[in-house]
Amino acid sequence: MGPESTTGHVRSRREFLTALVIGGASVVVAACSSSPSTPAPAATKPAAGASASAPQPVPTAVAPVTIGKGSKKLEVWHYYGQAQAQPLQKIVENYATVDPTLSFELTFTPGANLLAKIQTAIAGNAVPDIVQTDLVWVPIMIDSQKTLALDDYFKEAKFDITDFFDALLQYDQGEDGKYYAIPMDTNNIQLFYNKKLVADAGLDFEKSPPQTWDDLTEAAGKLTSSSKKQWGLDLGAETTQGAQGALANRHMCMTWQAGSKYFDDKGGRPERGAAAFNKDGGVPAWQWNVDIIQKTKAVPIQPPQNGFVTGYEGMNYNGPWAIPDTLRLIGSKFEMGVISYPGKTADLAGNSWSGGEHFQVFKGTNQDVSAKFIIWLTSPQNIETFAEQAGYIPTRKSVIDGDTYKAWLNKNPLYKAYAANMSKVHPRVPTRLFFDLTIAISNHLEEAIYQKSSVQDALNAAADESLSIMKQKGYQP
Amino acid sequence: MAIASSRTVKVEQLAKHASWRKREWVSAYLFILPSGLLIAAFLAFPVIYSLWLSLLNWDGMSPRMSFVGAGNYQTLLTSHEFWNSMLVTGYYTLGSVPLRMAAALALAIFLNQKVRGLGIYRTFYFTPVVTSGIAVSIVWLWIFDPTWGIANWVLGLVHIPSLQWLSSPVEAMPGLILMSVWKGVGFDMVIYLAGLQGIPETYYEAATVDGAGRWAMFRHITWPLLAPTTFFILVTGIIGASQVFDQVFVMTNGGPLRSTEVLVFLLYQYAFKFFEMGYASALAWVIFLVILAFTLLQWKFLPQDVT
Repeated sequence: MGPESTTGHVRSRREFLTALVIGGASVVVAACSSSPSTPAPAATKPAAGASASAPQPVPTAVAPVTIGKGSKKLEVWHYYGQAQAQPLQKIVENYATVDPTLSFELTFTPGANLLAKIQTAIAGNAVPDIVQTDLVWVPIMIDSQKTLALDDYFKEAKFDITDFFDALLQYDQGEDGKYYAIPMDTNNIQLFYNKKLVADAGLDFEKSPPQTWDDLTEAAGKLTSSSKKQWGLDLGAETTQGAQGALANRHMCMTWQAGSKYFDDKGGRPERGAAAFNKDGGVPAWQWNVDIIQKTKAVPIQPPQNGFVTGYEGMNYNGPWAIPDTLRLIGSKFEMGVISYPGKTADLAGNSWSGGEHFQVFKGTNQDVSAKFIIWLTSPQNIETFAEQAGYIPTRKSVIDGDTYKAWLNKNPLYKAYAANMSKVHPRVPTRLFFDLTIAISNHLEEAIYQKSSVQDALNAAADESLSIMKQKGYQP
Repeated sequence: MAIASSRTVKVEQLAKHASWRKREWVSAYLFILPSGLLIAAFLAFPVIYSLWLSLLNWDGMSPRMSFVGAGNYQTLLTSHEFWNSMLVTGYYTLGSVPLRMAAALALAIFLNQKVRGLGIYRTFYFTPVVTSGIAVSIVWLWIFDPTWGIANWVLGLVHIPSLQWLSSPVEAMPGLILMSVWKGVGFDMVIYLAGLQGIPETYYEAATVDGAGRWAMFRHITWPLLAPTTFFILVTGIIGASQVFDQVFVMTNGGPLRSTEVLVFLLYQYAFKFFEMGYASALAWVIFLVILAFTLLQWKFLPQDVT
């Protein structure tokens, strides 16, 4: 009841209750259909959310960009921030000469909101012609049965899909063996380091970088100083800003760095079967994580905000998407380098999940021209141009092995470790259950981090829950 | 003849009146039609549709959709995570609502005085209310930074050891409550201010004549006459707290160890991460029923003169 009641204008109980009932119901139910805004995470952190390869989301609305003057308009939804959207626009402008009958409307939506927007669009039958998706979304989109199989278009265009890295194609190929998406850019996770702090600690990563987990523990210990509020290694937020899925993502990398599988193969295809992370390499991998946080105390559970760029972290587990912003924020304070993330043994260093963005076409009246366009968009020349200008890694083997890209890498050495390790990337749960499984697993991994259960018990519980989720959702591992 | 004529006139008048009344009704309905359509499209239909969805097993995208009846409700009410979220939401509500009300009342009483720069103070305290919840949450992430956040610096000034704040399962929720109180206190304060200004000054003058002190005046005049305002703030505060989402989404993602996994965050995860629209809709309806039940209980058990 409002303050006006003190002057005698008392609303009736029934009116008040009715208002509460309607208001309460609408607000609660509305929560089902609205997607929240998402902040831009710190520049040095992998993007928030379960998908650690998502780009830095830009929280502000950006007006759609129209390209070309053709009468047939293709609507393209994407989540590239400004640094990536501009190279994309330049490439799309070139398509006007290929097909002048087309025009494009590029609509930006922050990465954290785009999947919910697509979900709503599918439910409302208001999908765009083309959509850029995080690679972990692709199986979910395929499952919607609204996206177009591209195999016939590949044949017609003589498009060599096998030139793309297999780990990326694992997402794009449905259970029926058909391709529903094409990789545009990719990334993986390696190790940033602060050259000044490393030198001050008497280390030389250029001559002898840490190559094993033991080396990494030793280096992180030397780089940690509680009196200086300085941490040896930042592995990303454990419990905040998307930590739930992020823990499983990190555990995957380390399990592969121990030479093991995270999930078993299914039908000859990797990482689609039953949980394998609770045996072999998965156990020492997470034990190493727990120990470096709880015993060595060289990794903070909650890393300081912008700790790496302000010079308070020796090393930072990160991807190539963060390099431009990190360099900008570091300024002239110090120099940074990038090395392969160590492995359980030196030969396994650099193993990582694969990240990146793919393009898909929705079924509809414009599906043919849209398919032709994304085939053109992902040509070797465009893939290389985009990677170089946007600061991502090329998705095609022929481009990575090509002389022009190697020359570009020589001028941009911070990207070398990412390009060099593309042969060691793996698909991470390339099924429609990516979020279900990574979040469930992360909840158990978190229990081990906080020492509420042993690593083995936590992993066994995670494996049991994974199996239960698969069964519940009708997925045969 | 004259009588017949008079009757005819009367009948004509009645018919005219009826016609005019009918036109009036039609006009009235036409006037409310735009609002009615909007309410039907954006309020009634989604509410009813979500009730239908709660009886289905559907991911919101694929053509696979099956009717499960009360299955989603049954699963929900037997799930550990739902009851954990109920407790977490209860903790947040119990922690934030009384604290916010007490702070708001204190501020309102202070700002109800003749203080220099009153407008500046009121603006100052109200600013967080109109600031984006997401932006505020990001700022508070920095404030709670265990390494160099202001919160630990302030604790250090009074020789209290640093806290882990959002990375501790014990300290994360108090951190969220603190931030929420700061964010929302201005709104309650304005409501209380309006309530205070509705209390006739003559009551205080009479009490002063009778020799009442400040505390006695607060206890016997201000507090009882603010009761309807307090009830309003309490009910809306509990409803708001039961729907907390932004700060959890930005600051903790429900962690650590699910210590901040409130009901609406759980709902969000099921709807937009696990793509279980039926289950999420069932959860939305359960949240609504819980809020409704609490509101009815307050209505029933609070003194009648308050309501």
